[in-house]
Amino acid sequence: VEAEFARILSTEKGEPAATLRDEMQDVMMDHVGIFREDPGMRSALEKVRELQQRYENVVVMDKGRAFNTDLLEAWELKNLLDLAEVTTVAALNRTESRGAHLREDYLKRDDANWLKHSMVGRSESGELEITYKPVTITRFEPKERVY
Amino acid sequence: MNKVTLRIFRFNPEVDDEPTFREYPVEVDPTDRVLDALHQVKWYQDGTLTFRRSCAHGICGSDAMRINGVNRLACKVLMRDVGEKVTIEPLMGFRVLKDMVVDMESFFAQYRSVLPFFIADSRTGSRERLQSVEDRERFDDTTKCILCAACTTSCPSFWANEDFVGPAAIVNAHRFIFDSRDEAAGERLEILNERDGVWRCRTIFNCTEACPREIKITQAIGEVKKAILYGTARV
Repeated sequence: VEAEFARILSTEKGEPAATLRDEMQDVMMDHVGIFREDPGMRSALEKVRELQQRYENVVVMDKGRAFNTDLLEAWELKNLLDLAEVTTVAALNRTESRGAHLREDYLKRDDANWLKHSMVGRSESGELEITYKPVTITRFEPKERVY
Repeated sequence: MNKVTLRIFRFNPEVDDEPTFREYPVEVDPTDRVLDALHQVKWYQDGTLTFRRSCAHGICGSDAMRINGVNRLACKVLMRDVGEKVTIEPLMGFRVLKDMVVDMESFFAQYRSVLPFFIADSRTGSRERLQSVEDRERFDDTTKCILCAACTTSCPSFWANEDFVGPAAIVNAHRFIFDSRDEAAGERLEILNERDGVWRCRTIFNCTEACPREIKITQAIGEVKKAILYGTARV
């Protein structure tokens, strides 16, 4: 963390965290929000990865060591970009609709293939890897969503 | 969109000997909040501007500051209500750490000094501690405090004497003193009867006007004073 702080503080030319964050928020709202489908999420994933590249040159104006919320917000953005990537990868992978995950290209729940938790981690080479964990069903069995 | 000028108190302990004011032009809608205008400055003009904020919806109590001279939450004041030139300063009476960020250690120490938690040593077995609707209403107003410090830092008695326990701590003591289930009212009243306790209050009403939660603070303090005088929490 200290090394990362030092790197961000020493960067002189690049983009501020605020504009990168705005672009991330827009693309996640538009394509990985309530209603999701493959093409949109693919474009979102591409965009998030582009932002992760651009984040390498994130600059802060506040170079101080006292209550530096400029630095804090830049640091938070890196974690937000990681989470945006994880969310999008897991949502793209899950070819069904379940609960709040509603895919317009897969409207039905698919217990045969997807009654399992997605676990996303980063491999040593930096790629995201999806593994699964079985679901423990207790009092409440999955049911059709009706209104 | 309206053009508005923010006149902001600036102090960076690493660079400045004295605080200064700097002016920032912003473009805002009348329904934007002061917090939105501050974000505009921080995100797109000057990243060194420093202020606390968290929920941005008036419940976390982080962004209390002086707006045109009065203590307000930046997230609850609309730009249409503050004019075309807005002065933003930190809360008064605490040491400034940086810009709008003040040192609140003493504030929370005073808060802790009044035992702001439920105390009841009697045993009820497996039963709950029931309370009537009327008994619950007795202290309802003082449950609303979000510890933003707007009241304490608007209080001339606190400005004059930083050891004064302050309205916020008294409000939070009131919340338990008048709770029929709590059993430590006497202990709290004793604490507030001390030299820098409730009697430093001179009924100035600044606290009540400053409170973003509209708690009737002066009244709550008055009730605590009465409880001390008459030796009972049931006034």
